[in-house]
Amino acid sequence: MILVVSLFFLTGCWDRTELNDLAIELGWGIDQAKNNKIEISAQFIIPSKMGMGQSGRSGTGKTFFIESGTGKDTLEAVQMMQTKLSREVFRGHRRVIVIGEQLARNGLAPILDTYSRDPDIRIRADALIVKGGTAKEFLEASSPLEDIPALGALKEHRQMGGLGDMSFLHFLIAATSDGTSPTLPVIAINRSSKQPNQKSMRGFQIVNTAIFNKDLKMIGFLNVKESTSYYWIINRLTKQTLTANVPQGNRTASLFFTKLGSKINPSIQGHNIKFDIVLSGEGIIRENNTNLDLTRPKNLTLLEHAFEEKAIKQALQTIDRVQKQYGTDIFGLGEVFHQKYPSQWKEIKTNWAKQFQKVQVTVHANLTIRRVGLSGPSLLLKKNE
Amino acid sequence: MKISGKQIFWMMFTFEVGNSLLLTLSSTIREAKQDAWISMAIAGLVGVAITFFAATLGSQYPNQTMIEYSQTILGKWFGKLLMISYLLLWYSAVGIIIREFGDFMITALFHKTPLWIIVFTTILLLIFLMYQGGVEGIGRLSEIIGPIVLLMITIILILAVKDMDWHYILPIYQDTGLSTIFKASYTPMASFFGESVMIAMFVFFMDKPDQSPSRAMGGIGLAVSMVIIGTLAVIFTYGPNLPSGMLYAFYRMSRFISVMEFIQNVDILIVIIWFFSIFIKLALYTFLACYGTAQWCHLKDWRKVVWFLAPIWFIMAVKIKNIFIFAQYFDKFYLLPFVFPVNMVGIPLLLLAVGWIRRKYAKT
Repeated sequence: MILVVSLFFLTGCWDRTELNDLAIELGWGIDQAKNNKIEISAQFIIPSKMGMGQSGRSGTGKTFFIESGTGKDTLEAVQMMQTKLSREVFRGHRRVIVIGEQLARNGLAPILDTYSRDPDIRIRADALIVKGGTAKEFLEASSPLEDIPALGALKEHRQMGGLGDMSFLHFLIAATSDGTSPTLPVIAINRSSKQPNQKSMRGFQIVNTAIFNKDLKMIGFLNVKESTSYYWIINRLTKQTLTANVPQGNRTASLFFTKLGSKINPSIQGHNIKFDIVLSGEGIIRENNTNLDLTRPKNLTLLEHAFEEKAIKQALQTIDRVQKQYGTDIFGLGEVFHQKYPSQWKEIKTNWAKQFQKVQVTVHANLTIRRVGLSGPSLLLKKNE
Repeated sequence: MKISGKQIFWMMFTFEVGNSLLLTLSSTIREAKQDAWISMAIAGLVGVAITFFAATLGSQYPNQTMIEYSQTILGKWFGKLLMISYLLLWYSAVGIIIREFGDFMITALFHKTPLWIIVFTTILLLIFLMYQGGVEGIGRLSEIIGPIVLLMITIILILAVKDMDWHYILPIYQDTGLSTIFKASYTPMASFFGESVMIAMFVFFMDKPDQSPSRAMGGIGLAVSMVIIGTLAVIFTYGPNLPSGMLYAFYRMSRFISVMEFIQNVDILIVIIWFFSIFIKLALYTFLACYGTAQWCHLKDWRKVVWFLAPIWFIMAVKIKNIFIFAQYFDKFYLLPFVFPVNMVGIPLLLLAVGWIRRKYAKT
């Protein structure tokens, strides 16, 4: 009977693949190719070089390489890519998916199925759009701090305070709900010269956020400041430094947030739908170029006021632009309305895009300065100012 | 073979929780969206009620199994006739469940292993268990694995907490409505929570039969609570729309877990949970099929029946072309319209009622 039981453990052997036969990829790129095909590129790590990087000889060679293939859909392209690789592609560790700008504009709906169906892929990945280049080029760029550049993109995204590796799930949930439109972060390649060749690539940066409509076609961008407001409004912002001009002090001050929050309150007045967004946050002053002494409570209130105004202004600008220029509800206002007024939502949900452009949005901010760092007034202030 | 009340508790819990968590979530969420948890609660209540009736029935005839006392209550021929519907259920259940189990194993873990190997090994294990202890062996096994399963589920739920947003559960009730919620609860109720009716057969083996209602209800109650919490967890993580298309929603939620960039890929825990849970369920049904057939046909050694049934199950599990299509037909034409009202509700209540009447008359 021991034999029988141990037989059960051996069934796994049928599926065994030696580690040496796996090509572990960490970044995945999808681009539009000619003739309505797509091109898949992947960034694979070279295991032997990884170890060498640790011992100080990191200049001797890249720790990764790129391979790609084209086809009518993802799997066909992967087949072609596999022919160029001596090892089987292992998808389990993939954390970053980058999508070329062209493909995003044409619409993502036809290519996304396999990413939620394939049992070897995880939904928990960071999905990014590449601007000003193809996804393949992005994967070829290297980043100074990271051994694996694909992870560099993911970490940069986190540093910005955005969604990090929840962005793909966020996209999927928004794509399947009536009250929200999806967005994805955008990354651009920094070039040191104008020539589009490999040597000119010097790393990359997160530039903004891409807006999609209900057909999953990319229709526009939010710049960095607008993106920050956007993440704040949907209550997903984790880091921010806000700089505001304090009129009473003649100069600027900067607040580094330790806590951020947002609450959206829908209301109906007659035939109008209104939303009131309350942004909240707590932080530390890290830079104060004004001549105000921050140990005086009155001055703190002045600063808080200045920051609140700045935050409100930025948020309103962002919402306004999205409403007027794009008309897609990326903030999830529809969903919030749905949750509070479900019966009314039933009537307007098919027309939400039009309704969204008409809603009135007000923003309030409630910011608290918790600490001011290590000095009260600026230490370089002359005594009589 | 004797089993204790505690073993009944863990048996009922283990065999219910794994299957329900894995398979029922998606269809219920598809119908009831974010109110799916209410449907689960309703289904659970009905399940507990069924358990109560079945266990009470069994405890009134502690020296006979259901096959025997149905003949006592309703007469030899009619009693035997009723039991055929149970036997049919037990035979088909084993074949189908082995196939479902094999499919999941292949999808989740062993992509290339042929199905028949998994089926074959499972059947061997079942035969082994029948010979090595029968229901007592199953009871002891559940006593050990039950707490482990509970622990694994709790760990997964705790790890998944940070990705959850409770707002996804809103608006409560408004989007659907009483009829939708009830309709959505029918599937989990009929196909899973009602299976606890098998307790009616097992009271015979208990050393303290009057403990059976409380212990069995406790086990099912715990399983139901876990399923409700699991449903809530899936809705909180994925929202109300996404899980409708997913096949194994709870499993996918566990795949999403990533804590501190370090704890990832915990879906293997789910496979362990499901493996044990399925195995207990398979073992229970196998035992019922063998023992029940033996009693029904007045056979001496119930264990030999398994050699007769095993090849049938093997062929059944391997030959079905596509389990999803088959399971849908099975559910639609057999399980829901027939098994639930008859096996799970009708016959136990009938036996209870007639038995009660007969005892009243016997006193006078």
